[in-house]
Amino acid sequence: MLSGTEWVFSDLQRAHDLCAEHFDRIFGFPLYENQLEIICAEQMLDAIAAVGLPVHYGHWSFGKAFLSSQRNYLAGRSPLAYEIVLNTRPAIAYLMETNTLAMQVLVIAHACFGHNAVFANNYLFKERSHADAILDYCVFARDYVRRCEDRYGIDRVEETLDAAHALQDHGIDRYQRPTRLDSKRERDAQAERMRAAMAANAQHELVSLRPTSSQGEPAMFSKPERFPAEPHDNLLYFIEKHSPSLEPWQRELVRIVRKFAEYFHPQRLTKVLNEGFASFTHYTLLNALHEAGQLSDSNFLETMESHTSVIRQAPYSGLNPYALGFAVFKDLRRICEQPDAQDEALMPGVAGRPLREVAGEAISQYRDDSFLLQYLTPRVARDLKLFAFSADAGATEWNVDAVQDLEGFSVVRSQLARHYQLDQQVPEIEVFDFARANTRALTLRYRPIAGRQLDTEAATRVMRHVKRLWNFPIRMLEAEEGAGSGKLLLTV
Amino acid sequence: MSTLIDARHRGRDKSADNRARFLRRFRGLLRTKVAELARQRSIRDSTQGAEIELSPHDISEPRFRHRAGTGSESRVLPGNDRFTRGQKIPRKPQGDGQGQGGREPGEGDSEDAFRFVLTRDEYLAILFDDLELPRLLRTQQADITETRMRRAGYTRQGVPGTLAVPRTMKTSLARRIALSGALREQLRAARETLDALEKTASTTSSGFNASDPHEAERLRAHIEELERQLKTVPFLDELDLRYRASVPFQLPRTAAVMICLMDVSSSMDEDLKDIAKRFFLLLYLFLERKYDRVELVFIRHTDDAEECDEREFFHGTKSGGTRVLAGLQKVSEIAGRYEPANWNLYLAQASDGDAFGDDGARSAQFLSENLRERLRFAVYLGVGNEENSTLARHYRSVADGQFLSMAHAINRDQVYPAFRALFLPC
Repeated sequence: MLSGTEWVFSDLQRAHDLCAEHFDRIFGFPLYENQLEIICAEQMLDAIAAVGLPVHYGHWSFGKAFLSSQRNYLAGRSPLAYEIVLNTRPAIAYLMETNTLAMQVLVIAHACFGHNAVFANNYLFKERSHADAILDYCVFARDYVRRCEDRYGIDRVEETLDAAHALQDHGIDRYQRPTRLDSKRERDAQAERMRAAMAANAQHELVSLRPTSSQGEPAMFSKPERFPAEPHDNLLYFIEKHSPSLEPWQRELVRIVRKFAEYFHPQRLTKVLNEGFASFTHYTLLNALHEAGQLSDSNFLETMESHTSVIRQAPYSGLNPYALGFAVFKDLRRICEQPDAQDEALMPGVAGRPLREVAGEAISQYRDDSFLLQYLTPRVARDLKLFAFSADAGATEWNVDAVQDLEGFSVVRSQLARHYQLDQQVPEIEVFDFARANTRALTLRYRPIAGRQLDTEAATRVMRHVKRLWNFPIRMLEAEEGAGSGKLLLTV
Repeated sequence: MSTLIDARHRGRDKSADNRARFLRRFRGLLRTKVAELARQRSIRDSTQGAEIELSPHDISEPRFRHRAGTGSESRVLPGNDRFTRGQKIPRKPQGDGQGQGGREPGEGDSEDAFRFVLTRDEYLAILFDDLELPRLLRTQQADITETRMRRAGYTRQGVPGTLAVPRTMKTSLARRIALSGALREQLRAARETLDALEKTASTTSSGFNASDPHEAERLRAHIEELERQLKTVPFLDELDLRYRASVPFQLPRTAAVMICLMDVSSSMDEDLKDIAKRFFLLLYLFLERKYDRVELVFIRHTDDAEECDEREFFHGTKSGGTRVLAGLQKVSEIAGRYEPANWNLYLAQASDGDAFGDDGARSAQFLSENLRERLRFAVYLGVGNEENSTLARHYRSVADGQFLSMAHAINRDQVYPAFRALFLPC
């Protein structure tokens, strides 16, 4: 029986083992091995500042994050996270030393089982973030950045990293899987790329010295074929490979930023799924522990109090991913166990099936937008009282499109799912043209969705950064309906 | 299949490096903020850390983003308890609140100001452009010492006022145990024998055991005797008394007064005062490292001198001529307030060097004759362009590098080198 507020290490081990038993019985999903680390408040602040990674390369933006979270914490404005769990193998979970026993049980169930299950099973995480390689890669990246600083000076490294960070939302192949991360191979391949780059530079200079061919016009007047042939949406990758002016080490820095962007990409797309399943897991496991007499009444009540504050949803304010995800999973459980006629009709693939199968599919094959499209039920929409409204540009009124009734349900569901798509948060920008035969100018193109415009002030600042990586003119077009490349927005 | 690690002993200050990088990145911005603060803060406050406020826009990391409020927007929010389909909701003008919705993420300008605290060392490093302070400690000045008493264990002699009660009780307890040990041993043995006798007497119901009554009687007498002897061991003996011992030792004097004297006539403008302020701050830092307690006295003078507070000193304006001697006389008067045995007096004077008539000569003379005895050290900072001003010329004739040192600074950048030159070993 886990009782009292104080804990010793064996209590945590026991809590973990008990949770493991119940998890295995109820869900039975494969998990990464857990590594629980007890840390103190200062270490938690450090971890938060370095986006959770235990080792990271040095950059001022992490210092900025540290200063603001430290200030908020010291001023008592925001409490510290109770835990952080990393998508690594083994899955490292940081637990605060000041948590009570009840809180430790809660966060172990939440992080070491809920999040862990998503990391270990979800297709996005499996394909795109390489849990078994990331820690090695962190060490590699930190050492490489440090060496560059020693060699080329902090200022130049910082300038390159700043510029790459400005594009880190655009360092992902949205439609293609990345190659596996491997720090050893990365080191070897890097040396190879360095050699190739130097050879190419030498060759390039020879070529430029060569007299232009006697027949026909010089190359710069002939109409060059467009490059890239198809627009390219991974800006960081394109710059890394094609920038006309980057030094080899700068290309490596851009690559490092891109690799981290890739690693964090799945987390961005699975916020609701991840937090929802983790909340559902701790809720389920804590109830199981309590029913089996393994968790004392008072500790159980303490965890439930935390649980309710975690899934609190204030009306008319932004959706809490914990609340939304938890509500969906809880309803899934109900449909599995006690389906009614409506469920049979609306969710035939779920009603009456075992929970472990349904939940397994949900966490492994979906991301937020598809997850909500697939599993948001009318009952959840009703319980959360979801309503959808919209307005055209310049309209002075919102129009309520749908409310939480049966007719409105599918509108609410699709609008909600739409909201979690990546292009809603990050503007879609692609490399449209690289005039590599003559001016070496880079043309980017913004694809507006639903008539939304690009924030040109912010875009100018980003493009100034990009220019440091490119060193030749950069233009930004806005794609328009119909043919043509689009209208010119900005030039730097 | 789990590992449990106590990671609390691992490095805690991991973010220090990134914090330093942050300060480095916004050095220029911080320098203007710190210069602004240095003008506002008093000298004493300047030796503490400072809260800095930066605009989030200045330190933001740009990203491509949609312009808020453009295009058609749709939202889904929870908690609907009053709207039905097709109903219209008035939309607030763009920029604030946006209907019922929450804020767009990434609306940078609506964030709070970014605040954080610079430590004292960081603050000073930025204020003085990374020049390190500790190295300039002047060692040539022998410290004036005074005699103080220090605790040094315990002694058997002393006055009642220094009686160390716990120590005395300890000794007393030890003595009592030592003196009464043998007696208590005998007493215990006698009691046991008596108990045994009484037991056998009660079990063998008849009282015809000839020797026993006498034996018991004798034992009881013996016990009584022993108890009496035990009582004679005194609770507290003169031997037990212990007193706290003190020994004299030499202590450097720990209090200093820094007298700041400045010409505030109209020729000293805000810029020159700012230069002077930095100089005074440096001297204060220097003294603060050396002494436990540093008092500040501000004297401003035109043709008349008065003691004032720091605000008035640096920011107040007062019109009038310039008579340095009045200022020095005031210094002398204030020096009289401080007991020479307890206080180290320092004079820091800043002036643009104006002195008319025989004022310069008389001031230099007054300084060297009347104040030399009372002051540990005097520094004179000439500010502005008048390096060869009248006052400076006269001062130079009495300056010997030991008692009076002179420096000159035209702009802010020169303050620190000037100060350092003063304190470098001659």
